[in-house]
Amino acid sequence: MTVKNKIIVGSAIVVVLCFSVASIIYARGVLRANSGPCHAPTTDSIVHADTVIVTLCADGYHPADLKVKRGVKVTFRTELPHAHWPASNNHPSHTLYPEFDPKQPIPQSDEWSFVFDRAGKWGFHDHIRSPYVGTIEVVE
Amino acid sequence: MIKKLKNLTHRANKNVDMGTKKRNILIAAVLIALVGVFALIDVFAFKRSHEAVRVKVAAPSTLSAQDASAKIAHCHGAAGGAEAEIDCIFGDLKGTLLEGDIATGMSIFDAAYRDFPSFAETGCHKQAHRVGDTVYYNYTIARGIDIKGMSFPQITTACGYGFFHGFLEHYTQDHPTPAVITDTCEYLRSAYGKDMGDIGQTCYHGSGHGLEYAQSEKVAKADFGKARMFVDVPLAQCQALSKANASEKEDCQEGVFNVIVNFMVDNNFGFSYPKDPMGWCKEAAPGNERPCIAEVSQKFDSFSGMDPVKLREIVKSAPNEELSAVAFQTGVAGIIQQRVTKGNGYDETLTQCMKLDNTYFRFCADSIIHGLFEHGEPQVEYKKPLAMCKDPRIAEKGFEKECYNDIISRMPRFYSPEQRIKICAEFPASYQAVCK
Repeated sequence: MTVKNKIIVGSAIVVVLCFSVASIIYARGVLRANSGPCHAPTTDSIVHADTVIVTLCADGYHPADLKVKRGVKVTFRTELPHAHWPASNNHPSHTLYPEFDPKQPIPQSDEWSFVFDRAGKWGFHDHIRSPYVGTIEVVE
Repeated sequence: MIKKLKNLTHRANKNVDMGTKKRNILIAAVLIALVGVFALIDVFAFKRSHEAVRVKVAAPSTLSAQDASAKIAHCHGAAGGAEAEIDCIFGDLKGTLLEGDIATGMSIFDAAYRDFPSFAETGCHKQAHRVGDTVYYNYTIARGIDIKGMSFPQITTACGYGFFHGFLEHYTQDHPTPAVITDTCEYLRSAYGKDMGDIGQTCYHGSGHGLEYAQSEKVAKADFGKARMFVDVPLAQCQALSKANASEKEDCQEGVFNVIVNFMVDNNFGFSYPKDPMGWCKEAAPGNERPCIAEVSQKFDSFSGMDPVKLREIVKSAPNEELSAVAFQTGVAGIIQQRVTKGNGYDETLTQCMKLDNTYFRFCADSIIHGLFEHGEPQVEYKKPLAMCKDPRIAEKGFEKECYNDIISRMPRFYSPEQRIKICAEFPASYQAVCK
């Protein structure tokens, strides 16, 4: 093979490798976007864990409906690029479960946790963007 | 011999050339195949991530009035009273929006207004907001459908453009910059302005709501209840709207204060309704009290016991006559909101207005018409005002011509030119030419 041909072939291999790597990175990014807390499966069963995470995503809370035992700590996070404020229904007074309310916006990078020590079915919403709603059922 | 050797060498070289050539072709084929494979991966990944954006919005369609009523009939008598009925209606409405389109969803809204008195009495503007909220979160956020990919039927002007307020306040809350607001509002104006005469103004007002919501997310808890921390930035952003005229900038600022008044009523963010709302406005927006007073006076209907005569006394505390009139007119429109579904919607209020002096009678009658339009039955808002203009009391006060002109001036807000031609045929003959 002449030197010229070697250069051509070598350059083509480099181009293809770069393209391949870029494609893999991009595809992994897409796959990552389609996995994670905003794609977690939901369940009707009681979640047996000391701490449960509820994430606010573009299409709402994940999980939007949750069943936990009394005394479980639920941590609220957001994947959206702004502050959030999870709180008990009804909006905007939060009177159904007044303690379930951080009383201020939680910055996007922060999370807020609450221990549910009252049994019942507690509807909640994002106080800043109230169409985002969910339910936490607390059982004995 | 030499010749033979030369031939052999030539053949050997030819073979070597052929081998190199084949190898090059093979390498090229492998490279092309690799490129093809990764291109396919890219296309697949791109398609998956952008699937939502490619969803075409269905062409507008509507349910018949009968079908829409049938769809929500089961909500009558829902356990929990009016609130439960309305929640039930919105459950169906959201389902319809998700399966169909905005026009179909608004058919449900229309049926709810007609069939459930509590729907309008609790504030049809507020209900229309909810439809706009639902569309924003379920179309734009969840499916990536931008406002420019949507089709808005004429009925979205219902209840004082509440749908657009609801949609735009959340859209702006998520994109709180004058540049985005200008781009959005000027798009709506150019696309829909012919049929929805106030779409530009509405957009700027709804965006004012959004600017305030966006600002409220950033205020530290220690500053809750401090008006200037909440309003200074959004008011300045309203002033920075490059293509809004002075009136539209003020509409934007009214939108800002509208949200603050809601905070006050709900005891949200440290606010509560002030004992001296006029004084509060002077502190919150010194030198620019008008948009503030236009909004705080929303609540004057309840302070006045739904009586325009008492309302007249309350608004005397405004800094000047002009602002008194603004507050009075807002208060009367608020009274009409609560009476619009009762009989002809204006009778009791007009009787009360008759006790006022001529100047305030005119403000009162004008505001009744305004309230009947803003809270009236979707797409037939004009009927009750038209009936009022024929009321003998209007002629008695010499307000007949002004009354009809009031209606005519409001019609472009809600009706397309084609609709207006048909409506004008219902005016007395002497007003039809002016109407068209």
